[in-house]
Amino acid sequence: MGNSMRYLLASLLFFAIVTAGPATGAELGDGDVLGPSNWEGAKGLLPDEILEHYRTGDYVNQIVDLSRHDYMSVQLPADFQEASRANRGRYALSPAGSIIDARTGKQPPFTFGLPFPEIDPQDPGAGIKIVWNYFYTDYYNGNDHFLTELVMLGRRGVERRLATDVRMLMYDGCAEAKDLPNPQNLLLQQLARVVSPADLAGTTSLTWRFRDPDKHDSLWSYVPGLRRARQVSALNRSDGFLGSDISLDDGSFFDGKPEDFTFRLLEQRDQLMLLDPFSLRGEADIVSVPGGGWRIVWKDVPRIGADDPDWHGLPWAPVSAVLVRRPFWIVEAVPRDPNYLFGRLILRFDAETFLGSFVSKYDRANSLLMSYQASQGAYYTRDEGRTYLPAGGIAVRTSENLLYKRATVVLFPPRKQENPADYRVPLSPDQFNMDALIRLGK
Amino acid sequence: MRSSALANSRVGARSERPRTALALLLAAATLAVSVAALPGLPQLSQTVSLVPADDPDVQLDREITAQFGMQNPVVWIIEARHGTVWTPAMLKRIQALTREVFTVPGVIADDVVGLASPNLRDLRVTEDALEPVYLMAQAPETAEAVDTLRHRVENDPNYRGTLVSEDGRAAMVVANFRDDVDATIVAGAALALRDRYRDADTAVYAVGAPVLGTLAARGVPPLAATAALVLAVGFIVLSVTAGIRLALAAALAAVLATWWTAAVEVALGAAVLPWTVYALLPTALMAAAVTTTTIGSWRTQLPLAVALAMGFVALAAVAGAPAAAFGVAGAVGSVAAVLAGRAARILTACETESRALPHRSWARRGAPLLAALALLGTPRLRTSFGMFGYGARYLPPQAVADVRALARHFPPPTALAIRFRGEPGFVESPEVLKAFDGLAQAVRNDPAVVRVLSLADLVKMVNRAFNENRDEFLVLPEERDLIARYLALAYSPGFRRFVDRAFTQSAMWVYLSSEQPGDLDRVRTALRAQLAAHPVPAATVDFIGGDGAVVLVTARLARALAVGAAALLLLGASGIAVLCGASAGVRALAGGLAATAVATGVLVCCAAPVDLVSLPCLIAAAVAGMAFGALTESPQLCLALAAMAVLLVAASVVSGTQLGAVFGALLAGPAVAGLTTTTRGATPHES
Repeated sequence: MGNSMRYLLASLLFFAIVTAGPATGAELGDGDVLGPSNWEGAKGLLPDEILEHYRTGDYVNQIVDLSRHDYMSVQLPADFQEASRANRGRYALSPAGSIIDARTGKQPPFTFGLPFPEIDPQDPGAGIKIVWNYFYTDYYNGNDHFLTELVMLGRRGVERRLATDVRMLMYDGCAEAKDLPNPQNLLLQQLARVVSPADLAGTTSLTWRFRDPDKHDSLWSYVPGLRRARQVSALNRSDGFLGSDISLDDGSFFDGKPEDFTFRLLEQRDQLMLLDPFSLRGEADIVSVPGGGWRIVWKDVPRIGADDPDWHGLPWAPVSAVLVRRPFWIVEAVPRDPNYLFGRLILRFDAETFLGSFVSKYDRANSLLMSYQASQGAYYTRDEGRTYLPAGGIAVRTSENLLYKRATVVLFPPRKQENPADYRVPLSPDQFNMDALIRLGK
Repeated sequence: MRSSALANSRVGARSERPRTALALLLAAATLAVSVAALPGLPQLSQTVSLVPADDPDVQLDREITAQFGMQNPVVWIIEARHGTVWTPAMLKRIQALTREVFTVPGVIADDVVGLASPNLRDLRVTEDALEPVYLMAQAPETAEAVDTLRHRVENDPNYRGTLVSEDGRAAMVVANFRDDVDATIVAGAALALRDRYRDADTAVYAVGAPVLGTLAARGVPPLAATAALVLAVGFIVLSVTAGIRLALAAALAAVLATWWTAAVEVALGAAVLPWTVYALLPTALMAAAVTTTTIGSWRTQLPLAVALAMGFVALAAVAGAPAAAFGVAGAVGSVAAVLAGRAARILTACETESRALPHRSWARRGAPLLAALALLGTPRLRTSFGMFGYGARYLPPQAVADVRALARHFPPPTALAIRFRGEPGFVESPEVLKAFDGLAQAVRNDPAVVRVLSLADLVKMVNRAFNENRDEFLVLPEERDLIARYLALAYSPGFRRFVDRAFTQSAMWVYLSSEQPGDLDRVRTALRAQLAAHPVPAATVDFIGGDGAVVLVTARLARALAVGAAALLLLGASGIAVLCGASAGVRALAGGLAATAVATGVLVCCAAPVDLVSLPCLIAAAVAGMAFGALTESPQLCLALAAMAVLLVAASVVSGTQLGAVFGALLAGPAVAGLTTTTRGATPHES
């Protein structure tokens, strides 16, 4: 009887050993390369549509453990953190979801730092507060001037490529905007000029975005062939921009007007996010811009699969990025506009920095339609902490159309010092009016 | 007496033994071919091919549809039961339904088209502003606002007759669906939407492959009940007139022959749906004929089967794929019919002897007269090869109302599509767009052409919009850069119908009100001539796709089938004459011709056109007619078939679908042919 019991226990133990194991596959560690052989280890850490790319080998990226001492911190800059702490209890939400002063009930004229530094997951307004925090983290970077590439890709490679020179003047959220006169209650002004291809060159657009929750963007466009500037309106901000998969509401991660959506915090959980390894390793190449500001000189490395002739995965795979495990807020956004293409969006924000990683966009029939993927980096200072900027060697923002199996990637070309990739540049409102639009377009 | 009884019992035992052995042999053979066919069954659904799948035009159509068209559309028709849809209440209802269409699983939101779809936009232009607006952002609430919208839609040739019917009584919402989504889920949601919006003021219909598939499935039980009733009537008539044992023998032969043929075809991997099924019909009739005939023995019936098989092989050779599967299965079926017919006679212990019909003279005189009368109707036979027509003709009554509503309000045009390929951005060239425009002009005045649309038309419209909507700007700009900017700035979801986003491919659509091959061929010829005279610069032209091209392929296939059928008749009759004697050959030919004439007459009477369902059935009738002509001395079987045909035609008239008419024609033809060529009459004797 005793022996039988021992055999039974031994059998049970053996069975337990054989069948036990991590429910989500092997634990992923620093230096592991996530791909077809170990994708199961990332179950629950990535959106399903992204994990599928690793399963099939269409994406392959190294995993990095940020706790290693030789990496840069991805925490928010010190001045921003300080301002965020000072904002505790200062702001509240209006019924429409706008930021209001908690004491006066009015929209504050200027906000700096996280407006809602403490997020209570039980708070019904937690979702939109996280979104506002994301926006003010983004606004912190201030005025900028970038040469951007809009690369439209199919499974066989690049289909179309547009290069645009973009300047943006901030009226809120950054140090240089604090004392800027703002009689029209603007949030930002943006001037974008198509540089290439040659037949589109000179097509220029001017955007004014307002802080007023009820006021939508004003857009003007100048077409050289017609020699006339006209006000144009964005009918549907979920439309693809110039036939691409990027919509006006994508921006650097999410650019919808918060008041146009209802938000709901779904959960907090660990997720993997794409980061710039050059940024983490402290290898950002930053030079000062004559007249003010700082310029990032991008690395001469493949940014997406299409840059690498030896790459066999998806042409829009972020081949040089690394994956980092971080705590995340997962927020659902439901548009109020019945004509908005998507029925809901799942936004994923870093729970400490509020930077975004992946957006899953579902149509109104609740089928996954698009995936937006953004890589992030660490903050750098070159003036001993007076100003900080997010810098690194690569930056990739990808909008993948899962229905048509194609994507559009925003890249920052092409690794020359004379190409603008500038933060904190001094810009003035005179550069963002109708005259400037026509002047730049000619 | 005792010894005699014993002797009889011994004889009986001796005669039972071969029957038992034969039954076992047949069971084993049937089991063997069935087992051999099993592995092929899962692939059977992938063989469905009415037209040659590898035909270049069919392939091009598939590619163009995938790139620029809608592969899996569902259409909702919202019909005002009183008045028109141009009322605030109806427009509100249309808007609500359209918004719900976006929630149907598998819908491709970019491909939802309708009055209230956000994909339909206008460009409102003033001196200082360029404002894209939805065609109907909100349902108008005042009569004035309704009139404005109505004026806008009815004065736009792209909208009039497409979004709202010409008479204003109905509006249409079209949505494309992913092809990887379960069709039954799409159909369930689409039909639920249809039913939810139906009331005393509004009729709503839903049409589209997923919906019709589901409705067709719902129509199977009544269809099966009708088929069972028809078969039962045939069996009863044959039992009453010729005895139950012969009726059983005929039924057993028909079942065995079709089963063997189908199993052999599947086992050999030669089955192609629906062509193989078409061949099972004459197989069953031939098997029944072999069972009931008094003419011939193994030695004469097998050569007859061989002769018919040769005819079928000729048909297969002439018709080509996929219709060749009809010929191959027919050849197998001819042999299987004789084997099964003979076996069934032995198994059921039937013997036949001549016995005249009670009203033989009536039958003998009436049948040729009927055949002659039917022959007179043959010139009135028409053709219809458009895919839409198949739904209207053959779907069960549950679906036909919806299909007819679509045909009534929005008669689907037949499209010809041309694809142009070039270097990235080639469509921004004014010369390329002018060539598109010239091509469109070459056919625009053809009486069958209702609309021609290409990227050139879009660029013209954008040019006009950017110039305060002045009509003098409804022209193509001369500057390439301006065209490029228009294409970039005005790009909207609707552009996908005409250009890919790499600007390396573009499609032109020519819509015809006719599906007649003659009209399509004329327009195709004009397009080809224009392209030869004025080639599109720096472009490769893929000529020609669209469902119109498929109609032309179908017509070509039908012609080949008709020629193949003639070859089958002549070769089959000649073979029978050589192998079975001249008189058998003459009777076979006469039977085949008479069956064709009668079947055609039935189709004409039921207003059923020749298509790729009715034509194979006509050929099947002709083949069965040949067999009946050569074999059948059983007017009782002919009477049974005639009764079944009458029932089928009646069912067709009552249900409003033409499937019964086609099968009625298939049975009526051989029945009359058999009666026409009958010389004696036969009935079985039990052994």
